[in-house]
Amino acid sequence: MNKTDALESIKEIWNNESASLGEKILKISTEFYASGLDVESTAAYVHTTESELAALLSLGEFDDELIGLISKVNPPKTTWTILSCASEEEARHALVEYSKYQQEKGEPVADDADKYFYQSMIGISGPTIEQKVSGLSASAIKHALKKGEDFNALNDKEVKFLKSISAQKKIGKVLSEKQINWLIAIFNKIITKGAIARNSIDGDQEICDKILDAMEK
Amino acid sequence: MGIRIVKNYPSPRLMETIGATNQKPSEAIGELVANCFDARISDEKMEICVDMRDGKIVVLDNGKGMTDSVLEKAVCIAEDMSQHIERGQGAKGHFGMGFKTSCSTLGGFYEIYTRPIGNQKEYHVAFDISDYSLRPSGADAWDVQIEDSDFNINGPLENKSHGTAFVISHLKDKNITVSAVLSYLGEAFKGHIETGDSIVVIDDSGSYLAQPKKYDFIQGTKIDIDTACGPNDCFRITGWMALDKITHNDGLYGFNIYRNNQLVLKWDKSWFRAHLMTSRIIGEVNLDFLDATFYKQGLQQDEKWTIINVHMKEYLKDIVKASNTVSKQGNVSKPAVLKKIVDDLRNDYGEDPVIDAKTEPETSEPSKTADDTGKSVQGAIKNIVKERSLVLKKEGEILISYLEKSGSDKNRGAFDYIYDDTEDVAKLQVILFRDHPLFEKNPNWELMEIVATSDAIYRLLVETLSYDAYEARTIRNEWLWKRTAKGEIADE
Repeated sequence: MNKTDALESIKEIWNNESASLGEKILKISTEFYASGLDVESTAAYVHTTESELAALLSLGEFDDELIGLISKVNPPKTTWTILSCASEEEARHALVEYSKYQQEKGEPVADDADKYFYQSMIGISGPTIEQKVSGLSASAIKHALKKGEDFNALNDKEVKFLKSISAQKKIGKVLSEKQINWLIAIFNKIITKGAIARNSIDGDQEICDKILDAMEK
Repeated sequence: MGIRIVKNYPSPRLMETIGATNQKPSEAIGELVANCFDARISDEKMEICVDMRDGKIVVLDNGKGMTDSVLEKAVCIAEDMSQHIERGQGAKGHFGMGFKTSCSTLGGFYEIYTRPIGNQKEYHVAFDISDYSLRPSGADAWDVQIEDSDFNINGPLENKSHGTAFVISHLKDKNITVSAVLSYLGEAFKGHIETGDSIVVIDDSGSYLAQPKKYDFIQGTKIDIDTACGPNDCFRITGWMALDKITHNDGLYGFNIYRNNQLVLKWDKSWFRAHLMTSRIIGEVNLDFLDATFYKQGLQQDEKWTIINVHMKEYLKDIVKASNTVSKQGNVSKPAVLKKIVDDLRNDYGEDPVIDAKTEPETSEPSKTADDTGKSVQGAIKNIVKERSLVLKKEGEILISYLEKSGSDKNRGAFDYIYDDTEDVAKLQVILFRDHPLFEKNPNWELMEIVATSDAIYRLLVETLSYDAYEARTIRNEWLWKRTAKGEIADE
C-alpha cells in the first residue's frame, strides 16, 4: 500500500465511531508502520495532535491480550500517553482498577482519569526517585553535605541549601517539589564526584547505600 | 625630636592565625605531601604515606630529611628555604609558609620528626599552637626547641634510614573523609604518580594507593598542548585538552592547572566563556613558570598570568568552536557529524585525523524499569497536576490537566496536547516534553507549565475548535491573566 492509500485508510478508521479502541490501535499502527509514514504529517492528515496519534501508536506495542483489555475498558484519550509509557504490568493494573471503579460507581472517573491511572500504576511500580529522596533522613542529608564539602563538590549556595534542608527535615517538614528537584541535582553532583559511592572506604557504607538506593544509582 | 628603635616582632598568635584558611583537610594534607616531593633525593622515587589513624595525621616520606640547621630554618615562618638547601628546579615550596599553614589548619598540635640522609641522628620539634597564643610578644616568644636523639624505631620514622614525618594531632576536623583525601591527592599529584612516585593513604579500614584522575572524553578529541608566548616565547605551556562526553552544569570542566606537577588551580575557565555549550572542554596544563599563592590553591594574578590569558584565549578558539558544535542539536549522537567535528578539530591543531574513530554516542544512564521491556511510567511521567480550567461560551467548561513526560523527538515541539470531548465534560491534557532542548538550562518549571498550557489553549481553539486567531488569542490571554493573577488559583 502506498502512503496516500495508507493515510486514507488511517483517516477512515480514525473517524469511524463504531470501531473499538482495540481495532483502531491495531489497524492504525499496522498501516502506519507498514507504509513508513511519519507522525507529524499523519497527525495533520487525520486532524489530530501528534501526541494523540503517537500515544495510540505506542499502545500498539502491547500484546493482543492487553490491547483487548484496553478495548474493553476504553480508557479516555487523556490516559493514552500514560498508558503508552507504562510497562505491561502497570498498564494492566491501572486498566483493571479503572474498570472496577467504573463498575462500582456506575460512571467513569469524571475529572482526572489521567491522574487516576498514573497513581494506580505508581502504586505497583514503587515510589519515584523524588519520593525516595524526599524520604531520606536529616542525618543522611547532613552526611551528604559533609562529604560534598570534603570533595569540593558544592558551591556556597548548595551548602546553605543542604544545611537548611537537613534542619527542615529534622523538625519533620515535608520538602517541596522544587526543593526535592534541587536535592536530586545536588546528589547527582556529589555522586558524580565520587563522594557518595558503593563500597565507600569512609566507614559510611550504610548511609551511602541509602542515598544511592534513593537515587537509583 | 628623636628616634626610638622598637622591636617589631610578630605576635606569637600568628602561629594560630595562619591556620585560619579556607583550605579543606584534603588540600592541607596535599600541601604537606608537596613538601615531601621537595625533599626528593636526586632521581629516587618518592614513597609517601598519609596515615590517618588514631586521631592523628602522619605524613611520612623517604626524602633526604633535614639536618638540625636546615630544620632550624624550616620552622621559621616565611623563610626562603632555597637559601639553605639545594632543591634544584621545580621546587614546590616558595614562601616558607606551606607546612605551617597546613598544620595549623589541620590541628592544634604538630610535630616534625626528621632523619637527614647520611646522619645517625634524628631530630624532633613540636608546636603547641594554643601555647603560642599565650606567649607574650618578643624575640623569646618564637623560640623553638629542637631535640636530637639516636634513631627511635618506635617513632613515626620507624626504621627508615632517612626521611621526614609530620605528625598533626588535636585535629580540628575529627572526621576527615579518607576518600576525599585520596581523590584529591590522586588529582593533585597526577604527574608524580604517573612517573612512579607513590602516595598511600591509611585509615582504620585499610590502606589505599592514590590513583591519577581519569577522564572520559570523546575519542579523537584529545589534543596535546605545546605552545609558547611572552617575550621570546619564554613561557612554554604544555599539557592536553579534550572534549568531554557530557556537558556540565556542575562547574566540573575547564582546565586543571599544574605547577611543578602539583595541581594549583582546579577547573579554571579563564580562557573561554563558561557556558553549557563550552562545558565539554577539559584539560590539564603545566604552568611551571607561574607563582602559586602561598598555600598553592591558585596562581598569582601577575603580568605573566595576563600574557598567558591573552595567548590561551586565542589558542583555544578552535576547541571552543568544536565544543559548541558538538553540543548543538544532538550532534554528539550523530556519528557522521561527530566524526567531521573531531576531524576538523584535529586539523585545526595540526593533528592527524583519527583512523576508525569510534564516535560513541552520548548515552544517558538507563532508568530503572518495571519489567524487561524497559518501560515504566515511573521514569517517563514526571508530573501530573490539575490546571485552571477554561470556560468557553459555546463549549462550556474544559478541564485541564498538565503532565510532564520524559523524552523528545527532534521533529516535535516542546509541548503538545490531547483533547477529549467524548465524555460529559471536555478535557484538555497539556503535555510538556522535558527532554526538549528548550529545557536544557533547567528552566523555571512552574513558568513552563503556564507557557505550555497557554500554548495548548491557543492551539486547541484554532486547530480543533475552529476559533479565529484573534478570538483564540483573546481567550488565551484572558486565561493567562487569571492564571497568573495572585490569589486566583488559591480561590479555586
